[in-house]
Amino acid sequence: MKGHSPTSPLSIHALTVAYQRKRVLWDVDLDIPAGAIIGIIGPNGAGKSTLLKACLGLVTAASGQVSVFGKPLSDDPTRVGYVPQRESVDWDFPVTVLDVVLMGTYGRLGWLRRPGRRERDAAHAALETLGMSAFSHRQIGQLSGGQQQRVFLARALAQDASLYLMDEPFASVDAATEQAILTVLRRLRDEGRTAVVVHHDLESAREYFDWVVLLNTRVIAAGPAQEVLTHDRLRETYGGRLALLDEAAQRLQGAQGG
Amino acid sequence: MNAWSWGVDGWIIVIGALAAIACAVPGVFLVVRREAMLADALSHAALPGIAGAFLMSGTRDPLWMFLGAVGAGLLVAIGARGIAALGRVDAGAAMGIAFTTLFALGLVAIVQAADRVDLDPSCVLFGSLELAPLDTIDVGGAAVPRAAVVLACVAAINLAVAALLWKEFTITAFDAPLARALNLRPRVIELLVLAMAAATCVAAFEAVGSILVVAMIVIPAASARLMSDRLAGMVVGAVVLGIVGALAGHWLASAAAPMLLPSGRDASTAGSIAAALGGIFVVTALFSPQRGALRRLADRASLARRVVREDALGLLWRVEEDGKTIDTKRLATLLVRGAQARPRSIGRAINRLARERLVSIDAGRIALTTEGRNAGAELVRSHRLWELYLARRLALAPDHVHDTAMVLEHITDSTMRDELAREELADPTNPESLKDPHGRIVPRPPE
Repeated sequence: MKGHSPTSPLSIHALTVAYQRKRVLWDVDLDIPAGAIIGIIGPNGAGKSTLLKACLGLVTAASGQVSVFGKPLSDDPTRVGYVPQRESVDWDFPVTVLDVVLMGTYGRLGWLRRPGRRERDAAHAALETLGMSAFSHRQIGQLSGGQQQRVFLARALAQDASLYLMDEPFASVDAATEQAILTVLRRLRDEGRTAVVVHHDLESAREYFDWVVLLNTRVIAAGPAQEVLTHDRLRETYGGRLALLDEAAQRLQGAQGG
Repeated sequence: MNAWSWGVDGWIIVIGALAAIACAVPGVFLVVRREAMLADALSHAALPGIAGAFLMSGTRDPLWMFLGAVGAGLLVAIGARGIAALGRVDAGAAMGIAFTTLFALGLVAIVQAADRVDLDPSCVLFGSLELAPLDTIDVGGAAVPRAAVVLACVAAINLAVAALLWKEFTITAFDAPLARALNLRPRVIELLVLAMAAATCVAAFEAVGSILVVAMIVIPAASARLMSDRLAGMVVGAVVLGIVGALAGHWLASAAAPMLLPSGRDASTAGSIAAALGGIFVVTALFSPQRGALRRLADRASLARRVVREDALGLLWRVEEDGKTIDTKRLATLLVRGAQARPRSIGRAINRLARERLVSIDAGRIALTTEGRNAGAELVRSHRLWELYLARRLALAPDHVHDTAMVLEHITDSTMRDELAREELADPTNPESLKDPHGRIVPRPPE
């Protein structure tokens, strides 16, 4: 991709995503720096989750390209670890905590091979890191919300990825889980890995993140947290809704029955 | 009742059990995906599939019938998604539209075709398990019912595919987006599960009919979920329960029904198996040790008893706090009024407290022992900490917090209590500073 860094863990070029003609992401252009904790911040409906999903190929982009360490994601999908929102799965599903964490190793294992000793060791180590070892044989529905979030994080750790995409990991978790997640994020950074974290709480953003992307359909600003999290920019992100454009989009939908 | 015959009864049970084993794998994966409705759709689609295959090929070659039925099943499952998008209805309604329409078309086609060949609609609906042992093929010199051979093959293929692709099946059912991000092709796996379910439906439906095959797929898996928290455990459970259902169903049809029914005749075996499976589900739903209704009732009753005992301790502690004493009768009256407990359960609670030496009763007067005093203090501490928390954090009026605190105090352990205290203690050096919204001092934790 022209003008984008081949070494960046995540380069996004002119990415546009639309659901039924309504643009959710519009011409997003980003180079995420390596070895940092990056926050993606914006109001509800700003397209934060969609951005992660588009990077993973889980939603189809109308246009644009994404590359991971200079290559298309499909070259080696296991380099990217995904932590979806907690609500995205059925927690009544009959699997144990260990089963779920082992799923992180499935990509590297590939088709047909079963998880063995090495995978189980990786899963146990990940659970240990998040203080969840005591729960490894519990059915996942018997955990608290914070514990479920830690299981998702442990699953991503077990994948041993270089780039992590996390969707609202801090959403409604207890104080202990918040600390556990922060510790993991900092450890990942110290190991030279990169974590891109969708987040909606402004107050904690300055404390959590090295680098911040302010997103509201478009990228409002991206850069070091101290520079980006300014009053004007936040107002632009949260307050400055493009009312006329929204109305036009609505009419377009109505007119075309879309 | 007819005399037992290995050649007939034995094979009926074997065929029923093989159908149950074949249904276990697709059944479990449909149930955990909350797509059990698909079994209904797939089995109904088999009828138009068979009719269509017959009209197109002009033969009754079983292979054509099979391919037609499986193809129609997949068509319905995939077509339902299209209908959902086209008509903007939910997945369940779309499925209902797709398979009933196709089923009706199939019925019409079969009635048309029935003039020329012996395709019997009622046989398609209810199967002919009783006649299945008569239709044999030669397997290594022995005459084995064709249905047994077909179902054994399908069961073996299903179990082998599940064993081989267990990891892919699991991750697809639990978290398809992750499977996709990891390049594990969840859509291919979903299609494979669907094809497996469709093939099983068609193979089993010849023996048990298109309506009852749904019971075979859904009920053992749903019952097994009540008994196991693991996928593998569910498959084993579904196999076992399915076999039990086949045995019980045959017994119902051949032994129990002739005695119970006024006609004195045998009942339909397939129908009896489905009824037996329904019974098995009710039994597991009631008696499952982890998730059964009786277990939940017992848990609730034991909690209710504990609440009465704890309320009695709390009340006694408050009486002592005011420097008063109380007799058991008055205590019971206060408990009935304050905790809505029934007099009988209060009597039992007081007896048990006395037995556990938490209270002592002397000439009708009831008092806390040292241990009881500590327990009462902990409870009142929880209660008042919650009142404080609710009043401060939720800004509830002081006269609105008591009832909620009455509930929360019983589920508060020492860790939670310490956390509440840490949050609410204004001045840690002076525990007296902690007062509830009514001005009462929050008791300190017992030494």
